[in-house]
This record gives sequence, C-alpha cells and structure tokens, in this order.
Amino acid sequence: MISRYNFTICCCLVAMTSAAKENTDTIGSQELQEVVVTGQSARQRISGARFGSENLELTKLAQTPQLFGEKDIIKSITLLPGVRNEAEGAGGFEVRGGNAYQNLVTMDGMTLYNPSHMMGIFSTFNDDAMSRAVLHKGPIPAQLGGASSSALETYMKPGDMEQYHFSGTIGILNAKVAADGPIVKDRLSMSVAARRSYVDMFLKLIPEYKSTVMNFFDVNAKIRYKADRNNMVDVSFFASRDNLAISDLMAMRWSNVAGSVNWSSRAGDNLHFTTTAAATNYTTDAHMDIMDTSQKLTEYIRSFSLNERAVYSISDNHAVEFGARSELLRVKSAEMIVNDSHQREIRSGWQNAVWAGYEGTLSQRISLTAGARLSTFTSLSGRRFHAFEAINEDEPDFSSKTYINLEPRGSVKFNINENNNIKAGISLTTQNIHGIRSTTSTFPFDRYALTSEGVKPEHTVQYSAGYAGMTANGAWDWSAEGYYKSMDNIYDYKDGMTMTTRVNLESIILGGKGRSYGMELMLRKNSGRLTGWLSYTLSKTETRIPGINGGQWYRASNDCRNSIAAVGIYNLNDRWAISASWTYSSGKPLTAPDAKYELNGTTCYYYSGRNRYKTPASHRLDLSATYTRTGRKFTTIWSFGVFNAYCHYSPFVIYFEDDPSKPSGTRAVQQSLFGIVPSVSYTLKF
Amino acid sequence: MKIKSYIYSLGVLFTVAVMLSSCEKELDFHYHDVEPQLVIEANLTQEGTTVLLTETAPMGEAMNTTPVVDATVTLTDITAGSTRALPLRDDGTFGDNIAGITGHEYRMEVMRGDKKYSSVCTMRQPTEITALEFEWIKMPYDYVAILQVSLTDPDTADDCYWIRLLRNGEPYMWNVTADMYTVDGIINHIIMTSRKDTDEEDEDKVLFDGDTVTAIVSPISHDMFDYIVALETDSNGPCMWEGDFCLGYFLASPAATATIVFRPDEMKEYK
Repeated sequence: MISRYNFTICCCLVAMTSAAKENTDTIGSQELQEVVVTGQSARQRISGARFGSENLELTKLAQTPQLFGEKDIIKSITLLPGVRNEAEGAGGFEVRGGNAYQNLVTMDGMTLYNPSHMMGIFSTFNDDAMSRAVLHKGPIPAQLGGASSSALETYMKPGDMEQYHFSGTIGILNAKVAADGPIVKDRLSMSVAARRSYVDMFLKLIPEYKSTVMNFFDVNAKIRYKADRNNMVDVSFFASRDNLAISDLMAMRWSNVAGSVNWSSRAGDNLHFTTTAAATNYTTDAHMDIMDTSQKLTEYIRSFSLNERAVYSISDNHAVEFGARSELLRVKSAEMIVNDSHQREIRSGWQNAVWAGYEGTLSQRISLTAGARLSTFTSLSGRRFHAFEAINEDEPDFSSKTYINLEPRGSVKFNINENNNIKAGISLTTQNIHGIRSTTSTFPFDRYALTSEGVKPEHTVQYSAGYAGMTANGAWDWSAEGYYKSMDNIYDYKDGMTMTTRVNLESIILGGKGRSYGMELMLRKNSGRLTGWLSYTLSKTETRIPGINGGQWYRASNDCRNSIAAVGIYNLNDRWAISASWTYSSGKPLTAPDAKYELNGTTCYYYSGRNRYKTPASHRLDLSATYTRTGRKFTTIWSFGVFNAYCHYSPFVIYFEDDPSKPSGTRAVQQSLFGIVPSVSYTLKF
Repeated sequence: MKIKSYIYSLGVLFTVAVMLSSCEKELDFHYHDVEPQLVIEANLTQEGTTVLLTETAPMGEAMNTTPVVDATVTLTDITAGSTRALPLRDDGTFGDNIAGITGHEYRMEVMRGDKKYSSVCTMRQPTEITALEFEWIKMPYDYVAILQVSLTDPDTADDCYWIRLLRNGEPYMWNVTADMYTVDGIINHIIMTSRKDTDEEDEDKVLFDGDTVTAIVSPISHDMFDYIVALETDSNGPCMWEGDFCLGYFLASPAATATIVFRPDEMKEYK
C-alpha cells in the first residue's frame, strides 16, 4: 500500500527485492519521484519469505490511541502478537519471552540503549522524524547481531529534495517541531525534528513543586547528499536527554547521543553496497547532596562500529548478500562516588562478524531465506581497556578471552495456494552486552555486564512455524505462529543483591538458562471504513539459575500467560477518524512473602522462592479521535484521547506493610500508575 | 489574553489531573501455606547476651511473638576457649550479663529437637556517636525531617554499621552505613523521618513535638550489612546460620547510644 503524504512524495527503491530491468522505453527519460512505502498490503505481509519480520505500518500504528496522545512506536508495537509492554508505564518491549535488554534497537544504523523518556512512559522515537521501521521477532536476519530476542530497525525520514515542509505540535506534556527541505535542490537535503516536554513549567506554578525539574528533549537530524544516481550519503544524528531533579538536593539524568554515516552505492543494476559508520554514547548520572553526605552514580555504554553490506540481485527471484562488521564497546557498569570514596568498574570488548545470506524463490511454491553469521567477541585486557577501583573487593578477572560463535538463520515458505502458506524458521543468536534488571522492568540506571572470562555470551536458539492466509481481495488476513526458544547464559542478581551492593558486577550475578514457548494468533481487517486487528498470544517463559530457587525452573520475571490486543480504526469521513484499543495481559510473576516475623521489633518477611505468586491481570481501553483539516497551504490536526477509558487500575507496584487495623496486622497494597488520562494535541503542517 | 489564560488553566489542570490519577488500593491476596521457620535473634554486647527464638507466622494471621523455649543455647568464646550454656530467663529469652570482649571470636549454637544451628561472629571495635541533629529539608510534597547521625569510624577496612532508631523507646526504623562514607574519621549518615504535615504521614513514621528518638549504632560485618540490606529488598538475604535452615542473625557488637528530642519548631531548614 502506497499512500501520499500531505506535503511530500519521495521514492526509495528496495535493492534486495527488486532487480532493475534494462529500460528500453524511449519515453522514460523523466526521473521517477520518490515514494515512501508507509504501509504493507495483506499480500506483502503474508507472502514475505522472511518469517517473523514485519514492516511496521507507522501511519496505522500512529492512529492507535496513546498515553497523553503521544504517538509512540514502542507502545504501538506492543499491540502486535508476540510483543508485550514490560509493564504499565515501562519503556521497554518484550518479544517472545525475551526481556527488553535482549532487543537490538537501531536508528539509521546507530544502536540505541534504553530508548525511553520519563522512566519509560514515552519512548525516544519521535514519529515526526521516522520514515519506516521493521521488527524482526522470528529468525533475525544474518546481517543483524548483538541481540538474542528481536531486532527493531528504524529509519529517519530524509529531507524532501524539492520543497520545504514544516510542522508543529502542541500536546499535553510536550511540543514538537519538524522541518525538512532542500539545501541544494535535488542534491542535498536536510530534515530535523525536535521535541521537548514542558510539564515542569506547569509544576513551577504550583508552589510545592517550584524547585522540581522534570523534562526531556530529543532531536533527530539527517542530511542526505546525492552525489550521483549511484551514490548517496546520509549523515544522521540523534540525541535524547531526561532530567529529573529536586532543586540542588538530588538529580537523575540519562541520555543517548548517537551519529551515523551511511554511504549507499550501486555498482551496476544488481550490486548494491552500504557502508555504515556509527557511534553511540549512552550515559546516566544520579547524585544526591544532602547535609554532609554526597553521593553520585554514573554509568555509560560507548560503541563505535563499522559495517559493510553488499547485496547482489542474481535475478528477479534470487539475491545474495555478504557483509562484515567491527564494533568496539566500552562499558562503565558503575562509578560510585560517596563523599571521598571512589569506586568504578570499566570493561571493553571488541566484536566482529561476517555473514552471508540468500533470499529467493525456488519454485512457484517454495521460497527460502538462509544465512549464517560468524561472530567473535574478545574481552580486551590491556590497561587502557579496563579500570577497577573498589573498597574491600577483590579485583575481578580482566584477562582476555575470545569467543567464536556460528549463528545459522533461515526460514522457508511453502505456498499452499496464492492466498495461503506455511512457514518455518530457525535462528541462533548471540548477545554480549547483558543488561541486568534491578526490577521487573528496565530502569535507566540498570547495570550492564560485558562478556568476559567470567560472563559467557548469551545464546538463543529459536524454532518457529506458522500459517498465514488472506481473502482473495485482501480485505482480511490472518496468521497463526508457534515458537520455542531456548536461552543459555542469561544473568540475574543473586538473592539479596542489588545494583549497588558491589562494584564488581560479576560477583553479584549468577548465570543460567531460560526457555520460552508460545502461540500467536492474528486476524486483520484491512479495508472499508473500519480497519484493525485482533491478536492473541499464549506463552510461557521460565528461568533456571543455580543458586536461585534451589536451581529449579521458575517463572521468568517477564512471563505472561495470555495477552490480547484488539484495535479498531474507523474513518467517519475525510476529516474525522476514531480509534480504540483494548489490551489485556495476565498477571505477571511476583515475589511475595509467605510468612512474617519480627527482628528488633520490626516486621520482616520470609520468601520461600522467587516469582511464586502472580499479580492481578492488567487491562484497559484507550480511545482517540482525530480531526484533520487539509487546506491549500495548511493542514491542521486536532487529536483527542482518553487513556484507560474505564479507569481500571492495573498493578504497577505491589508491596506489603503492617496494618494494625486488620486482625492479621498485615495488608497487601497495589499501586497503579494511571487512572483515566485525557489528552489533547494540536498539529499544524505546511 | 482570554485564550492564553484558558490554555494556561487547562495546562495546570491536566498536569495536576494526571499526577493525581494514580491510585493505591488494598489487595485481597492469597498466600501460600509454608511450614513455620525458626527465627534466631542473638545479640552479644558490652552488657551481655540476649537470644530470642521465635517462629514465623502466616501472612494472614497475627504476628507470632511467643518465644520458643524448647531449645538449648550455648555461647563459645573461641578465642578464650570457653563455652557456657545460656539460661532461659523469665521473659522467654536466653542470655546472661557477661560482656563480650572486643576482638574475641564467638560461636552461638542453638539446638532444638534434632536440628542444630550455629553462627560465628567477632566482637567488633566500638564506635561513638558524636552528634545527632534534625533539620528540615524541602521536598516537592512537603518538608521532611532529616536526622543526621554522626559516628566515629576507626581507620580499619571494611567497617559497616547498623543504625537502629527507637521512637519513645519503641522500634522505629533502621538503616545501614559503611566506611565508604567516612570523611576525616567521621561518618555522617542521614535518615529521612517524618514529614511536617503529620496528618499526611504514616503512623509508623510520624514524629510529634516532644518525641524522643534514640539512635543505637552497632558495628557490623560486611555479611551482616548485606543481610540487612537484603531484608529491605524482597529477599531473605544470605543465611547467617550454618546447619539447618533458619532465619535471623548472630551479632557480637558493642552498641553506642544517643538520644535527641524532636522539636520541629526549633529545627533549622537545610539550604
């Protein structure tokens, strides 16, 4: 499905799936304008040979109701089967039993870490800046590595080579501006989009909150240079930052700053190269300064990578690709400064990979993607590559260690007929940056372990199979998929340990195994005034780590038995569109006490095991209505929304406390983050 | 101007509405049944030994504070090579008035039926509380009383401290600190206590004018430090006893004590 934007039409030919034909048409001297594919027809969705990969329909996802009216791709993809929100208000997404740290998230080739604002209430993706996105939840393509669960590739919108365009949006919590256009017509263009929250400006008007700082901003910028018809260079930049502070007493800040240069080059009609150089710097900073006590905690992840990819279209039906990647990683898992004391741990690693892949149609019925990635990781031991200072802790092992991993990936599709097919796939993936969660959701200040002599690379093997079908006219399509995933070398904190217990992270974590299996069902309506989809996921995820729960299998923190999402988008007329989404998730695993006792007159709790209980289920209904008025020069959009329309309080935190008014003296308390949340925003485009 | 005022009011209204839309409610929680676990709370100080044995209670029942008395408790001074049985007192605790000796290693053993529990601890160097001070600190929601406990820290490695607060003689709250906070031989540890608006504060945290707050500071080992921190983070913590499984701890440590009266009108504001 190709749609016209209000203010721009661009064309981007996908090298992998189309071979250029020799043009003998004497009329065809006019250069084709660019068209951006913003959606995906049912035919494209079910007939893609690559199993478990989905081109995300950003415009459609943007129409789903969102918290505070803020369009958020991460929140939207959690409406798809097999993809879940970590928790109410949390920023990460979980795919097929994996946790948020097992996803690779990229933007124009830059890797982003913890891409969320306001502790996860929003993601750092500004939809005004985004062009397209692809989610790989099945076998991850061979050209992508470093994550064991899924890969979300996003791409920034390039600037229009012909005309300038501007837009501005004012919402409940933040404002956005975007501009794009030619610097040199048909040769050099730019696009920039920025967003900044202003809730703290309102807070300053309330005397109690006058000294509170609570804001975030993000900036996306892209310059595109067309050297000639065969060469194009994109320079992309991304920055995001969150600030939370109470006057000079305490503050928490985190940021992602990243940049990339992508050089796309054609050698003839069939051979296409992409060279990418990228760098990312993710930093966190928390400090407190009260009376005579000063404390500071900082962390960072820095990566520098060079990636080369070549795609050769053998014919219309066959294509091969090759590639290589080299990446330097430097991770400061923590630096703790308390008054005069100073502790820190820094590690570095070098990961490299080469890969080869094939995608093609073997016959009218059979299509195949097959590839393999050979990756290596070396923990760097030289003095310049690591640092360790601690009080009363032994120095960890910084010796050099190299791991070599072969990661085969592939899928096969068999067409039953032109409207129905079955698919199967297998993939083996490796991950060397291990995010260790302090709670059941990602937290900007979670610590990261790097593969080393003591911490092994995480390996995941995923088997999947499914069926997809559609009606002849594409009005309806459906799919059913099953998967089994086995994970080795997943890490978690030892019982009683937290992120600040020791600087030496490896001394407070344990490694073990995980497994996840499930079934996903999806039904979509694609035509008519009412469109939408219904998805259901049944899954089970378990962990077994020697030293936790007696070394027995136990429910993983991200286990969720049932997930349902129902989305409806109704176009009343040319101006009004309304949408609704209803989501349901079974209760999440909870570590709750089984008994209580007193120590020093204070109530303490006894836990017979981890994750042996379940929280209440979460569900909510979100509604939105959009009024669009397109004039000759301006387009205005009013968006109204109600998040959690029937005000169901889903669990965010559950804790236990003394209650003298009860015969038992104890009560369990559930805290919920959101009640009913209305929103309104106004957008102007020209 | 009228539209501007309207937008401004709307903005404030939405911000406050969103922030107030979160909710807290009591859950009807169904707990698993587990066998009662023995809890051993053993303290050896400069004033003698006290060992209290209790058992865990189901979450749905009242706390079980009845002492367990069908046990034998012995204390061995490993350094001195002497062992003595601790007699059962009228209050249900086991103990005596023989002071612990700094630097001596002690083993506490409890035998109950066919189960045996033991733990070893070295009597730590004493500390001294040099100051207790309350100040108000401005938080977004209210002023909060911060108690700063200042204590001496010897120039040895890996010293940790357990700070227990009593409110009018009853247990109030506890905290731990360590020698990484030391500046010029003094640790200044801050604890957030009651907010100024006592109507909004929880009963277990509120302080009223004239309340007496007593700080008891005990030097502890790093293992004990980890154990106490774990109790606050949904965990049983490392097991502090060898042999059969039980909860609790054995602490051989001289306690330093100091008292302050809470006078909210006389407290200065930290700026």
